[in-house]
Amino acid sequence: MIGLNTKRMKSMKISSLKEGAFLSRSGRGSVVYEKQYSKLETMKARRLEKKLNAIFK
Amino acid sequence: MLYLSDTNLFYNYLISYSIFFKYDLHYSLIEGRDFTKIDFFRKILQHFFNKKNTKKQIQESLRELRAYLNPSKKTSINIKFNFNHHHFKINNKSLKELEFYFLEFFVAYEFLVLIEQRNEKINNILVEFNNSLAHILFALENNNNFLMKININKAKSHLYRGTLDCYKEILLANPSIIKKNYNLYLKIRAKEALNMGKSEDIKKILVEKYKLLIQK
Repeated sequence: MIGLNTKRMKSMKISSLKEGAFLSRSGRGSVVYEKQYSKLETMKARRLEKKLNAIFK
Repeated sequence: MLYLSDTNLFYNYLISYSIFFKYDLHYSLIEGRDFTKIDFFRKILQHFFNKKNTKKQIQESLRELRAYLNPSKKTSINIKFNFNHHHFKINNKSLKELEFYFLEFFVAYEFLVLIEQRNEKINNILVEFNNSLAHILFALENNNNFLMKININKAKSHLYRGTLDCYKEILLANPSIIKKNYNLYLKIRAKEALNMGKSEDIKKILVEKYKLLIQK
């Protein structure tokens, strides 16, 4: 069974979700690259991820 | 707030999506679906909904996305999108509705990825997101109001389904939430069944109820 981080979830108030504050963490989860990706494709995706993280830091 | 009401930004986003859409149409059944790219589209649209982000940041992210999408392989699929900025006519009510469903989808998705890494189940949820974008693309492609309405409604339905799927996956993985809130859970399930195919308002209420349940 997958554990649920209930403490963290409880701390997320609906009001703050609506304000979009919660969404500020959007994109924090690391991207999972497709299995069929070549080294080059993985590198390109990684580069985009880094750039997005830098833009929205 | 940027949200979707900045139609310039949303238009640019959809232009990028149309490039991916054609590529996906051609290659997804040959090489498998590229969920990484769909996830990038999800992430960037999610940034539209963060009030801390500026228009400049969104524009920059869209430029990077466009550069990344520049396909190494050509697609010979015969679809040309004719929508242009002047034809980007989507009424405010539809935009607001889409905003609601996108926002709720992103919130539910973020809850789910707190407990799960991307896997087959999450990919299925990303399919709902992808399908909603495809319907929006064709809503705007058609100058026909009737087709636009149908496609916007289908886009909302995919987002609604994706949102509830996120919450249901969380409940499946965590039976204790149901055990602790058994009566509420039963009420929500009955409401969901009894109101199938009914109004938009009921769908919105159900989204809120599921969201409350997983946070109990």
